Amino acid sequence: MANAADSKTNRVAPKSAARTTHARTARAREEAARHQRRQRILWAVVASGLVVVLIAALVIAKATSGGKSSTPPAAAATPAVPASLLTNLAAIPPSQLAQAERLVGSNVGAPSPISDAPLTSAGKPEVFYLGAEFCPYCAAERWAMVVALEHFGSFSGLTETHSSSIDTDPNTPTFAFHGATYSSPYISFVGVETTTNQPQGNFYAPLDNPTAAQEALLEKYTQGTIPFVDFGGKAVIKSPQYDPKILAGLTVDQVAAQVPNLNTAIGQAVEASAARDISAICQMTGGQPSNVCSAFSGSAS
Amino acid sequence: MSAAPSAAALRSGGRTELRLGLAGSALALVGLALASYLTYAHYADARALVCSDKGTINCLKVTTSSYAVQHGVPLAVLGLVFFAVMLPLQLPAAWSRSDPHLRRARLAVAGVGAAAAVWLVWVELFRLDAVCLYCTGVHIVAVALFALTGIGTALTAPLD
Repeated sequence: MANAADSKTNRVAPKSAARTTHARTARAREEAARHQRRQRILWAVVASGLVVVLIAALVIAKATSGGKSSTPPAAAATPAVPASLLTNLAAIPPSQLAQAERLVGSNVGAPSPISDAPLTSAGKPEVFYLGAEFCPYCAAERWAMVVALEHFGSFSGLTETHSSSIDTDPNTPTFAFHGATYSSPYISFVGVETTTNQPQGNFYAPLDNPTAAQEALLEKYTQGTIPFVDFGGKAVIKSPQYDPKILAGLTVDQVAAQVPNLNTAIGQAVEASAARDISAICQMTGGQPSNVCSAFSGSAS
Repeated sequence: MSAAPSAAALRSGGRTELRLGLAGSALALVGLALASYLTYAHYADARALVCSDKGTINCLKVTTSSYAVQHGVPLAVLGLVFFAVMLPLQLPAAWSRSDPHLRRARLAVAGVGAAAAVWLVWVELFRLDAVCLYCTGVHIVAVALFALTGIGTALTAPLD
């Protein structure tokens, strides 16, 4: 009997041990699985949190930077153009610009009509400017360009600068298109500044690289001279519209204060040039916006 | 070889996937609606957006900037494509599938959306000095989808 009982116990014991081992293994596996899942969730939460923290850091950085844009540095640190200055230029009534154009007659240059392939970008007709920061004629041209373009959209990230201090018409005050962004529902604007105003070697430090197509346009219409402006393949500026000498010795703020005043030489020259640029742009937009283009006869839709 | 999940675990997992699917689909639908509106405005008339066009909140300035079109493709259209791709990936039926390729694809698409949102917030704040309300809505949805997809993928991952 005893032997029989022993033999029964001996048969049951290995099964029970195996069951215990199996249960322990299962528990360990379950624990490992739970740990793995917890870790994965932690990684997911950290990754999501990181994105939120990144965005929050951007907002805080913007709030504490006093609203300054992080425009790429040009030659030297240049102050941002105050929003109020651009608002004042944009607020010059189109009728006043048209009056300036009549006032100056042929003393201010106008874009020459061309018949080229339409120049477009981002699905809109493109105004393409090519110049350089050292160039005083480009400095003068930018005033007219900014007044004109501000009537079709708005700039961000414009900074104040001046032409070369060792060239003709030294230190002509102006804006820097390099690093600026332009928004408009009607047109695109592409500004290329090939050099800074800082001498380097025999010339000036390089800045933007024009594309082959842009260089071809420059070569075709001006044989390489700047400033050059192409209004959507419909008109081009091949030579300065007015003399930069009238801007000599002034700061950007001082010029900006005179631009809206038609009793000043600066006001007449910049506004008349802008008016002629606006007429060319209205040809590109089919007369839109009408509250701007209707002031200019001949900017047909 | 992994042990087969219990019936309770299956039931619980099914509920998690259903909830993830419903929340993800709802977010993708909101994103799709916002992106559709921005796409419509891009092609019809950017000025049609019901939004301020002066000061910091300036949808027109953002949606008509040079950043609004990348390599010839409007960002609004890219947003539309993103949410159109995301919607089927977020459906409860997609969440209930354990296909590793599908899970990775959903996570990758969500990651692209979150990265794009961070870049676009930087552009608005530091390049354009303007914020577009509808774009901000899209960014919030994209980041929420990334969080939901990341956490959901971790929650429903098959265990080794």
